[in-house]
Amino acid sequence: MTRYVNGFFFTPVALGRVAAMRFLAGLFVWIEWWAYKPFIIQHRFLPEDLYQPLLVGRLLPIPAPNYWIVTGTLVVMLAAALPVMFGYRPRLFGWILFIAYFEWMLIYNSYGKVDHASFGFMALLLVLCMMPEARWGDREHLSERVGWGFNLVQIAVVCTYFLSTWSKFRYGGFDWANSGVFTWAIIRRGTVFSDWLLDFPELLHAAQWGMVAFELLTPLVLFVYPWKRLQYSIIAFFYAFHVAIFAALTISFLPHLFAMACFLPLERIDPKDLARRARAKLKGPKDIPPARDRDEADPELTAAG
Amino acid sequence: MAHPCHTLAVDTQYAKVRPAGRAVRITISMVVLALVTATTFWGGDDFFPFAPFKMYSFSKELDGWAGSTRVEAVNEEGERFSLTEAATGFRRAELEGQKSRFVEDPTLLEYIAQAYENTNPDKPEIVTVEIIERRYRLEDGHQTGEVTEIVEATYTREGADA
Repeated sequence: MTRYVNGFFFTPVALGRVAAMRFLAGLFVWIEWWAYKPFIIQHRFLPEDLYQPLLVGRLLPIPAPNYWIVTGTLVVMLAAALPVMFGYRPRLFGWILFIAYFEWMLIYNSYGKVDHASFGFMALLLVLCMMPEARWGDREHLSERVGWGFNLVQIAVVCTYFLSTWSKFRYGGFDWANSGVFTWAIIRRGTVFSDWLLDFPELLHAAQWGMVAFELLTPLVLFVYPWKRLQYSIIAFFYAFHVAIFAALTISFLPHLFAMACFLPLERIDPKDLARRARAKLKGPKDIPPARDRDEADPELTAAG
Repeated sequence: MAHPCHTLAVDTQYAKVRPAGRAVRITISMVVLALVTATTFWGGDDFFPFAPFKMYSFSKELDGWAGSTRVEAVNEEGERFSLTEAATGFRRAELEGQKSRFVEDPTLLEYIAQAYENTNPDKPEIVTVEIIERRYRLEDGHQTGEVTEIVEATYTREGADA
């Protein structure tokens, strides 16, 4: 039991995953501002009277956003994301990125609507600041501290599902799954993939029950950590779920999807090695170097077992 | 052929966490979990980043009206158009979040007109801003096709004759 609990929080993770997650985190920051949430930068034009500061914004001496605060935050955030992505002084720039991104989130959420898709992503940016320097494809160096950091992100990711059902019970009542909420959602933001569902309210009703069941079961993905293949399959299912939601409602929870990637064994990706092999393949099939020690026990799959 | 134990042996300073460190870290995880759980049941959005994950958490009646809010404006040339997120930087959800403020005091809609003019300095100025809700009638979860529109708040700039 003690061993299971220890493994739950501290299963060692290879440092290669840190390099990969830093790249993904920075990449998302570069994508978000123009492609995913373009209205955040538009908030620079909003009069101060529409600003509704959140508790953090009132406790900390954070001024109401204006043209220069919004533009400046964006510039600092994007500038800090680059060195983080490529592993140059990743902790120093990681902190700058985390602080700038947090302010960016306040600019995002302080006008009457708070979104919750980035909870896991903010946790990711925070733990990345505290992780050591790392290079892609490093499967030799394992760290329990890194394992704990990613576990915290994973808990945050799972909370986003699990607790959202409790929010449904709180705000919508236990009868949420029997209400017309999906009909309403499709009326508001339906697509060609979902509009036809309006003619089948019974199906939507069933889907609402499916949603509740799915969300309440998500913590399992944390508890099955000793069985990595099972865990990866569940994560694949989560990604598929989000593809379906995106097709139906064009809601994508993109930062959440990036944070969730820390469940996956990204340390197996080594861009340099891939490039080397691609080049060798172009030269001629005889020169392909042997794949990296396929017989080696995969620490990911055996560490806990 | 590396055994996992050997892999751990050739490790960086970050590899192991001592018992005290373990206790601290587990506590941190538990505090984060406690905060986010507590705000799910008692808090509100105000506690961001710890806040209830309440996207689509409200129940919608199977019989009744499903509403969709929008903002429309009339400019000084008399053209009527929708004030979308792209036109003002103010989202529909943000408008809905502050709707009670606007309904109570429609002169606040002036700020939305300002946001539009800041975003589009070359376009003709706005004289009227309206919040309109379009309501779709539902019966047993089906749309009946019955639709009504209600103007919930109107603001017209002083001196404007539109």
